[in-house]
Amino acid sequence: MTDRELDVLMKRIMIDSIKLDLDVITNDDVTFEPSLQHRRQIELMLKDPLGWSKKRGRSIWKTVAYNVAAVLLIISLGFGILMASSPTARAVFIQWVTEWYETHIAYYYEGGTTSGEIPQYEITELPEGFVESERIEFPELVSITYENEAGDAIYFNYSLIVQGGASGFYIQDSDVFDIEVNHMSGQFFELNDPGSFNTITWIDTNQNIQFDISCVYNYVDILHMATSVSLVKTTK
Amino acid sequence: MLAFLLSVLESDEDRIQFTILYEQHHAKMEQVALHILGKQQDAEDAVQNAFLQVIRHFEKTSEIPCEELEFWLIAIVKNEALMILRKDRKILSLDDLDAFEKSADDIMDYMQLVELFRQLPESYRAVLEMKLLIGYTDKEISKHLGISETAVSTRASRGRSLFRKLVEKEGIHA
Repeated sequence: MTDRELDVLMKRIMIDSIKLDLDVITNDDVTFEPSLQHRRQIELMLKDPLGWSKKRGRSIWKTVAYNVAAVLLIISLGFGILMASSPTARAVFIQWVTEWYETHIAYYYEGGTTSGEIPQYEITELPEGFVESERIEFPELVSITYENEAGDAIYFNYSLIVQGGASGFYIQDSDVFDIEVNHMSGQFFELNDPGSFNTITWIDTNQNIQFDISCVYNYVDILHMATSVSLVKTTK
Repeated sequence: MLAFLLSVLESDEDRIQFTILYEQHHAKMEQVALHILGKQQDAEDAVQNAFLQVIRHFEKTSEIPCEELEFWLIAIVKNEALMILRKDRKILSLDDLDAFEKSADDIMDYMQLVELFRQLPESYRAVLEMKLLIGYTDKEISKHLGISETAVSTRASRGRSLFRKLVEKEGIHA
């Protein structure tokens, strides 16, 4: 029997085995009752399959990371001009305002730095098999992706707390908890959707940096990663 | 790859074909997902992920005979559902093919072979279905199963060798 003949036969075996599986499944009493959210997704999918697949294929966090970057750049630009024209207006201490919306939470910064390069941090205790696979650096934001062989990802981002800057997190369908990472206060966003990304964020007021880690791991694992974040190289 | 993707499902004709495919098969796919996962929300995720794969591999739908399309779709949604289970760490991979091989000694005919395939350790069955039935690349399979491409290749090879041995022993033909 040639390899091709074997493959054809195996394909037939697989189809027939699925037929037998289906005989069992179709006798199930359970009924699929689509939620509103699912119906909406299917509607969008049928309207524009390719567009829907692109949006769904991109992880929620990637979107958030770029949104954070965009927010930082846009707001920094607006306020940066003001600060440049009035340097005495710069605050010497940092503070932030947390604003809650239906779908996201935003941190608006006041005080902090207005210039300087961002130091280099990394997660020193990653789950086994994860290595850095991507690093995106903006003047005020670093976004690092760690991946394992299976393609699972851990996203680690940190941004300078810049006068007039902001960051935001998508929190729809999440539970939010106040937490501490190495005595620094922050929040943990636990998504109710299994397999979705949970996020931890905290602010280091000494270094003027907000950190966040996002991945599918649970709170204990993510907190462990967060507490292991260490300064690798300072560039200030 | 992107250029190719853009060439499919952009035309109205493709979109109509996709809608027809959805209308004809979604109910069974939903039932399979719910049967495996037991939770409505998980099942919805599996179904949406399955259609994401269908869109990504839409060019294959024109190559698959009509009578096989349903099983191609069921194989996709089933493996998406199993992937959700794996992520939740609700199931463990069973890699003991040696023990399985011993139970395969009594195979006499084609239908027993089909039954045997249903009892194949899940990680082997998944690899073979994704590779030979769905047509995923080794890289895609490794991402789905959370194993290395080498492991994918090894499992596919061992699975095929086992079935070759069985079909040749019993003189079963394609």
